[in-house]
Amino acid sequence: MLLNSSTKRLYLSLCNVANYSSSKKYYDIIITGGGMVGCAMACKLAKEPALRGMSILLLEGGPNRNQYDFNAKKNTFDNSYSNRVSAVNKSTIQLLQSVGAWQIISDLGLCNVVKEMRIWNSGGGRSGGVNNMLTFNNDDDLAYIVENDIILGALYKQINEEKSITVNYNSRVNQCNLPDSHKDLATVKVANGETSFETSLLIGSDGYGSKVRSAINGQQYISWEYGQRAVVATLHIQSDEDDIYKGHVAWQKFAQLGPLAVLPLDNKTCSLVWTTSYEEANRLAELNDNEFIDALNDGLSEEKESNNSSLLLADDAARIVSKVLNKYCQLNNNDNQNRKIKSTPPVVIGVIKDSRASFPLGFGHACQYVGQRVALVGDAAHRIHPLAGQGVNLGFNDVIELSDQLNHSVLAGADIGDLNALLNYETAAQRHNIPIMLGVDAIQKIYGSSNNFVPPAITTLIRNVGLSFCQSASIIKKLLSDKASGLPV
Amino acid sequence: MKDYWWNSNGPLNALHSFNPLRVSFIINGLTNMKKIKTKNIGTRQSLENIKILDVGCGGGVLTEALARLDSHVTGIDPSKELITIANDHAKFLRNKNIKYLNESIEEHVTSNTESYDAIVTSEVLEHVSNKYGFLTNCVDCLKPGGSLFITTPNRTIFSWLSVKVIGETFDFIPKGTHEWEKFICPHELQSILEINCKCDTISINGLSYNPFTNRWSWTDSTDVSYAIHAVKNT
Ligand SMILES: Cc1cc2nc3c(=O)[nH]c(=O)nc-3n(C[C@H](O)[C@H](O)[C@H](O)COP(=O)(O)OP(=O)(O)OC[C@H]3O[C@@H](n4cnc5c(N)ncnc54)[C@H](O)[C@@H]3O)c2cc1C
Ligand SMILES: C[S@@+](CC[C@H](N)C(=O)[O-])C[C@H]1O[C@@H](n2cnc3c(N)ncnc32)[C@H](O)[C@@H]1O
Repeated sequence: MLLNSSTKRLYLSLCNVANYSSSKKYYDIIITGGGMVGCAMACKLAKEPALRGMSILLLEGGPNRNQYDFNAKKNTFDNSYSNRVSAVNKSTIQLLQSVGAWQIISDLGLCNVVKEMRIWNSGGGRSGGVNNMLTFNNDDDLAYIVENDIILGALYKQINEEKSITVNYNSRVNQCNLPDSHKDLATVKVANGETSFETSLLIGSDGYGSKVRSAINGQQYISWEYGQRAVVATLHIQSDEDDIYKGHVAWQKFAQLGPLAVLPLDNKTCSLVWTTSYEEANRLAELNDNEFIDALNDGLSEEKESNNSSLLLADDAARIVSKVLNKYCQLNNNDNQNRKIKSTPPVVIGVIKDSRASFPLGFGHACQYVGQRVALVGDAAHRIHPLAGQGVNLGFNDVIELSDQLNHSVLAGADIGDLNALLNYETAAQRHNIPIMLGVDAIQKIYGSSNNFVPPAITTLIRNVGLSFCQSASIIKKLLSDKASGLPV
Repeated sequence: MKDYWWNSNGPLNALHSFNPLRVSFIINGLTNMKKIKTKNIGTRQSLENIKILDVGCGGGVLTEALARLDSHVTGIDPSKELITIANDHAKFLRNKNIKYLNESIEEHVTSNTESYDAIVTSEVLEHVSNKYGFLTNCVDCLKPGGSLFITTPNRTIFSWLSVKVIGETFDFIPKGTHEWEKFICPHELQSILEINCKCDTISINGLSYNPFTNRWSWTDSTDVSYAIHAVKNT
């Protein structure tokens, strides 16, 4: 090796760094943000045999919500559903199983399997409408609908049993210092707290407004708002005794202002995710429950065909669709499980008191998921439109990838914050997430624009590209049933 | 220099990214020789209580990895600067058994015959002029039945191209680091080990390195670089 003589000065200054002050409390791993993804991360790392004995600190900005009383939950009836639910896919379930959380959920029957998806678009006519509802059934359990709070509760239950995990509630991280090289540790400071914490690996799972993300050197965050809100509510629907899939059907309508999803919680109860314009969301918020139900039923049933024939966006949309098509449909064009049926949309008969709320929707992509001693998981790294129900599934996939990489590198004697392992995680996670994010965004652009000349544009597009709606919906099908189930297509 | 050595983005990143492969090569070798306790297989304690000598440890990239897996590791290197850097960096390890000595293998062997379970010498042999003397001294430090692990580039047109031309042109390797003529072929190394050092060769595996992605991989061909595991006769 070639050596030069300026070495001495260099490491004299470095020795000072090495004598880090003892007022900081050290943990091997610090996870900021105890949402679903952060909690799954903590559990997964604690259960990883290779990481056994490593100390983990979970910093959650919110209070300790000691309200997940599963037994109480089981004995009360449907009116206790929360309005935030997730459609979780197969690989998410495997992850939750591996940390012992899924068993808690399924033993108590707190999840509901989706056996069939029914998708239709607005506009009726030849190209779609309820008369052309497209259905996908799902023999090997496409997805389960679970309340977010149930997933969180089951994860916290597991976390509380892990000695290696310390949870600090009401601990909002307001300062992160990331090192320039791995010779230093990462430090975080909590708002109103005197202590700062030091760690070999900081994992940011602090949601889409991530503090950790913005601390990463050279970070580029690509984001935009969709100008839409998701209106959520817990609904009672009329149960259809003739429906063999009663209680297990997920409906999704691509309405003019955006997709409208009705996800089954049980025979009579569903969860609503209704994407619509800001103005419409505000209008809906002002309605009383009965008016809201009427507006919703109108939205679910046939809409009058728009006679606006402005087709400006057709070309754009055509390009996007063919891109997405190439990505997802070339591989497998002869799938015949989907059939067109004449079916009726669900009829909403009630809305659970105080279950109505709405959330803004946006897109976000962190170009760097990792840096020196830092990694991002979940919404901190990526935020997508909920139309394909993929947000948290992507986050759980990050958890799987990151724990795999850490496991491998630690078994080979690496420091837990080793940059090479983190870079491997970034590559693997982005390879999985980016196509899904682009696909979902493209579908949103086509179907979900508040521009009312988009639906006719789709009609033209269908003619242009030589597709029937059925085929173009197979994009969604591909997204929902292959990529969406998290298994290799 | 210190930054230069330990910066994982620097030119010596090749040594960092080599760790997963060479560490698992050592673990697998020791597992095959039944030196690793069953309860420790597949854990962070896989090298618990195993005494290892890392000859030509440099800044300690490999030495530290071995220490993190709970071995008792001693790193020796003739370069004083590198040993200081290694010592300094080892402060980041908590409660591990790691020791660095600024001495040559000739000096080390005088008071450490037959005292190690394993000797590791990775990316060093290509710098050594007297390979025969170096290897016999290494093996003398080894307990009977102990394992010797070596990684080194082959002396072929491929390694000449990759080390001298590509490596030095694109700055992956500091200029003048290697004298290609000193490189040793696997069969030459094997015959020194078997004939002069009373060792059995357990395995020889080909290695390749892609400097553009900074990734190492195992290959069937030893044309560029290779790893060898030999065991001292009992
Ligand atoms: C209307 C709607 C419907 C959706 N439906 C689905 C669906 O069906 N399926 C699906 O997969 N996904 C769905 N998603 C997306 C899904 O909710 C998110 O992807 C998921 O919640 C992300 O989880 P997370 O843990 O990464 O982040 P979050 O859930 O945002 O959790 C972040 C956590 O970090 C804490 N925190 C934030 N900042 C700090 C700080 N500085 N210090 C400490 N703690 C902090 C917060 O208190 C919070 O607990 C939907 C989203 C919306 C808006
Ligand atoms: C490429 S570095 C390898 C460092 C370390 N083994 C690693 O892989 O990270 C080569 C090292 O070999 C050392 N070296 C050179 N000649 C040597 C010799 N004759 N005996 C022992 N070490 C030697 C150098 O000082 C240098 O640290």
